[in-house]
Amino acid sequence: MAEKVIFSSRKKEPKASSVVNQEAQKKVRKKKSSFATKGTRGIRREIYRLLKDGGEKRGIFVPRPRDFAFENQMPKEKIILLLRRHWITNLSWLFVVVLMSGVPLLLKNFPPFIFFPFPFRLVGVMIWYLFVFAVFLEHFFSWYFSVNIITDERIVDIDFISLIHKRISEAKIENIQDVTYKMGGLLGTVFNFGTVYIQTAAEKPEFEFEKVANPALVVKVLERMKFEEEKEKIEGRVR
Amino acid sequence: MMWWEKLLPFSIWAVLKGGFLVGLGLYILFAIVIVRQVAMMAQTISSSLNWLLRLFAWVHLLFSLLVFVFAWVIL
Repeated sequence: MAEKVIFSSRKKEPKASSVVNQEAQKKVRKKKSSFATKGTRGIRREIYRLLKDGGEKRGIFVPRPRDFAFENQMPKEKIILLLRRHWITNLSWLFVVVLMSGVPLLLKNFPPFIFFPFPFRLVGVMIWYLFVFAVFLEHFFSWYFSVNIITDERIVDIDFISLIHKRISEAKIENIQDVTYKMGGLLGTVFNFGTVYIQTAAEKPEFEFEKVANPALVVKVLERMKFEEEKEKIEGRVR
Repeated sequence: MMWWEKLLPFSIWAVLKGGFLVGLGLYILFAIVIVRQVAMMAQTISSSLNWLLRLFAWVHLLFSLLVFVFAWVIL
């Protein structure tokens, strides 16, 4: 006697192999979305994440500074990073200023100062401290106002060589050809600062971001910015 | 009065006072240049601390004026 065959009305369950395929496809899609294949928004987000992880160093390494603007900044131009020379580079002139402050105390009992009447000695000391204050101000302003700026469109190097000499150089990010950095010496290694060299196809062929904090991160950011510019060009969104 | 003061027909301290005042006058001009240059720097880079830096420059100028007046009166 033949066996009865019972047909089930249940839906056929998906095969185990197709489930495995879907999972494998998801993994491949995740792997593909690396830096090179991201859109410009993704690259920008990655730059911001890098800067956030790198950490802000007050006054010398400032990602996306608020309440800051510079001459010739375009209306929609965003500042990505603001850099100044590492504060440790100011130690040499600060030491000189401190020494200069102590000179009147050291020399007050020595000739020819002891031959001067008291009013002259007093005015002389006041003039000396005025001069020391001027030296301090000159060096401080030179440090504070000499900045290196990376915006979403260009790099800007503003140098105040002294109180009366100013030099501003800029180059578009797309003209950057090569970025390297140099870090050395005991202080540079301990405090993590160095000089970033940027070769450009602009009028000024080489930019130097002197003695900036975290130079390796600055180089990374510039490379990402360059890639973002290239992507924007391809997408036809160049400003 | 020192012995060498008696030998001179003029007061050495008056000459020295004149020298101090001329020097301080030139220094006041330098302080004015600093104030102007800081204003120019602040135009190039505007940040939230600019008011404080301008204040430093003005305090420096004021201090130099005070020293000038003090030297005029006391010497």
